[in-house]
Amino acid sequence: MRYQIVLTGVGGQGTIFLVKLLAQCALNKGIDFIGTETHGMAQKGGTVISYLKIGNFRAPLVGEGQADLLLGLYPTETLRFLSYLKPNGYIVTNIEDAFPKIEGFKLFTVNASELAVKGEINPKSLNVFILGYALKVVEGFPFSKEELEKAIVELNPKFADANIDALNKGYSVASRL
Amino acid sequence: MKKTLLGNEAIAWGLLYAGVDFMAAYPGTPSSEILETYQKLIKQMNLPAYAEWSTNEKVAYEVAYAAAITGKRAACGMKMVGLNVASDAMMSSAYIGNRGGFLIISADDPGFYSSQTEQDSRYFAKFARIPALDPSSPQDAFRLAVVGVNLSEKFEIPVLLRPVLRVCHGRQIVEIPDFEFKAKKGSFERDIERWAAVPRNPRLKQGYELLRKLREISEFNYEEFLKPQIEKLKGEELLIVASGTPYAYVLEVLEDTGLKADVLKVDMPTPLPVDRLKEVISSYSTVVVFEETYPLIEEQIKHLGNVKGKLTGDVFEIDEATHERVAESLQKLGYLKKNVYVGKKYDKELPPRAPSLCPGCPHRTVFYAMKRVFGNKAIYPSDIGCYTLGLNQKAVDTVLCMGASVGLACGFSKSDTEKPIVATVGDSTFLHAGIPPLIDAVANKHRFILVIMDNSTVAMTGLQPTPERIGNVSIPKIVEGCGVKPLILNYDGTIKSTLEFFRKVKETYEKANGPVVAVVNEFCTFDKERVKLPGKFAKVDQDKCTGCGHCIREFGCPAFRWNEEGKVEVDPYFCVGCGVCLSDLCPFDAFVEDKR
Repeated sequence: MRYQIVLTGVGGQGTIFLVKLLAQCALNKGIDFIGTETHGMAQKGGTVISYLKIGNFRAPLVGEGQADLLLGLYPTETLRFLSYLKPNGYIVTNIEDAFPKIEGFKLFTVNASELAVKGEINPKSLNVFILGYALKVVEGFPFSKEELEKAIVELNPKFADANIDALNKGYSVASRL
Repeated sequence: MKKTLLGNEAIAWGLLYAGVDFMAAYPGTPSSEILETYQKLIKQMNLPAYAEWSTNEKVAYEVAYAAAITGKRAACGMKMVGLNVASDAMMSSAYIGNRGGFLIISADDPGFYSSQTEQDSRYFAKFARIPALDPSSPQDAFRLAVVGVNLSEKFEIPVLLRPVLRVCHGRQIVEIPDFEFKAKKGSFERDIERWAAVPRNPRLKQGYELLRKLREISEFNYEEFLKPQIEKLKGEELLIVASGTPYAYVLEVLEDTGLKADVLKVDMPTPLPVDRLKEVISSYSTVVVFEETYPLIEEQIKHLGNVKGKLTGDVFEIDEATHERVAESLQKLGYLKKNVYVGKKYDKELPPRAPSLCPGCPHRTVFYAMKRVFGNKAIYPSDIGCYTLGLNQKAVDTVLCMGASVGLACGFSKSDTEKPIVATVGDSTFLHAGIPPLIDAVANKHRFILVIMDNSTVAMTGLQPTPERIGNVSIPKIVEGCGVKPLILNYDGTIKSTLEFFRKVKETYEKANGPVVAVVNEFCTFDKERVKLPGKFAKVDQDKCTGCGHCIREFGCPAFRWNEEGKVEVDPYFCVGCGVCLSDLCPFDAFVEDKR
């Protein structure tokens, strides 16, 4: 298997947690994993971009035009890093208001920020909610829901219930499409 | 066992695997997680080892080097600009050498992600005449950390491990063979001729000895690292010589494009067995060198054949290596028809997301009040840390290097006597390199204000502890010891009392004929032990907001944003409830409490 994901958001949203989660899934399945992350100088609110490469890769960064999936936790940051996607690749992103129509990709948007403000999802699990959403809509996603749930428990047992709940919420909201 | 590790974590595991039982470091991105992990692991596994955060990199170097003199295996860690600070000790220790293995880890930051320079630490190794190792991935960093410690002990010479950001903050599944940790008992053995060698003859003797070691290590480099690879080269038309992360990009570019080329990985860019490489380099019609950040390998081998690289303008000279840049060079040289690494960019403009202080950060209030009291005319030298971001409030005019706010303030006070000077420095930076220039200021009567913003942690690099927290070191007492009685403010989260404090500072300054020091006791909003946020969230009364922009321009909380009516609103997602904006910020009192 070879699968490349670019994950973006702003500091404090938990993009790094998702990287660790997917890396844990790869480890459990005995698949190689390499990636890297860039965060701005400030801890909260700065641009965060992570690169995850699942399978037999050597270099930490994803080349432009190569990613299978762009997972966005913050709308402006999703648009900022569009160029990493390969033609017809998947975009799954959190949005706030209107999101521009983008040609040439498979675009899936969900207003998770609104759900968080309304109290329908825990803002701290917005990251895992988006992942659950992607799991449902992205064909060929490298891991199953059960594999992700197992990794969630292994990584942070304390918040596992909340995170598994968010994963399933994301998955079921997407199922309603 | 297999683990998913950051490169820095892999290095810490490598140190333990190699039996390093003593480590000292000063934090700096991207190196900080090395000591953090080492400290965590020795605690978790209850290993007989010692780790410390030292006051600065030179101190870390000396503390760890002493352990290596006693025969322990030791390491010190820092970022590359930290190596500048430690270089005094490093240059001399290269001559003297060590008994136990001694690894210097200096993390480089190609691409200036969180550093003021892009300098290549490998050159420091060449300058000091010690070996440098250049890992290409977290797994490789584990391997070379172990090699480095062993090599250092074998040749009794300090060895430099130079991981770059993408190795330090790369994440990979790393294989760690089982091992048993064995600590060594340190024992200082008097050898005045060696440890206290003085000019001229004893040092000259050590100099000859160093040259001999280097020749042997260069031969080791050939036998261990290069020869096994050279024997396997297939005799393609093109040879790519690569080290560090560029090696990994080269492999992927060849795989993605199907281009056939031989690849030679350089683990140890210095000392390089140049004569031994002549035959292989000259046998290819073209040799391309990819390395980060400066052309160290290329400079050494360029005369051996048709060598292309940074010096010939064929390879990028600045910024980090990427697939795109590697492919671009190969395309320019005619080996690739097109660059496959192109993506479709979003074609409209996006709002820039400039680095800024976190919501609720006390630094912002301090800069705001300082600026209101001292105005636009003052000169604001500042320093390295989160508070550098005071530049968004135009309350930071200079950033040079650790401690330079104080040194520059000394110089400005004598070279531009017309303007008030208000310098800012954080607690860790002050203790690192700010004390000697303060002593200078007292001794030479340099008249300026120094504001020490003390949150008692190294916030920017991830909240490492400072001497005040772990050892009851008192900054006010240090300042007093230097000869100035400091003015102290215990930050209370209001603009009002911060303004009052700076008015008092101004009065003192007007009467002073030397430095005036203000210490502000703050907290970092990430510091669970000390953070004080009252939970007073804010919103904007849209009827009162005139859209004047004062709050965004002068205060600039990331939670403030313009709305479509040209007025300011508070983004509830970013507001942390510090309550600072609720009084004395808006000239029209438009900020009101958002009771949640």
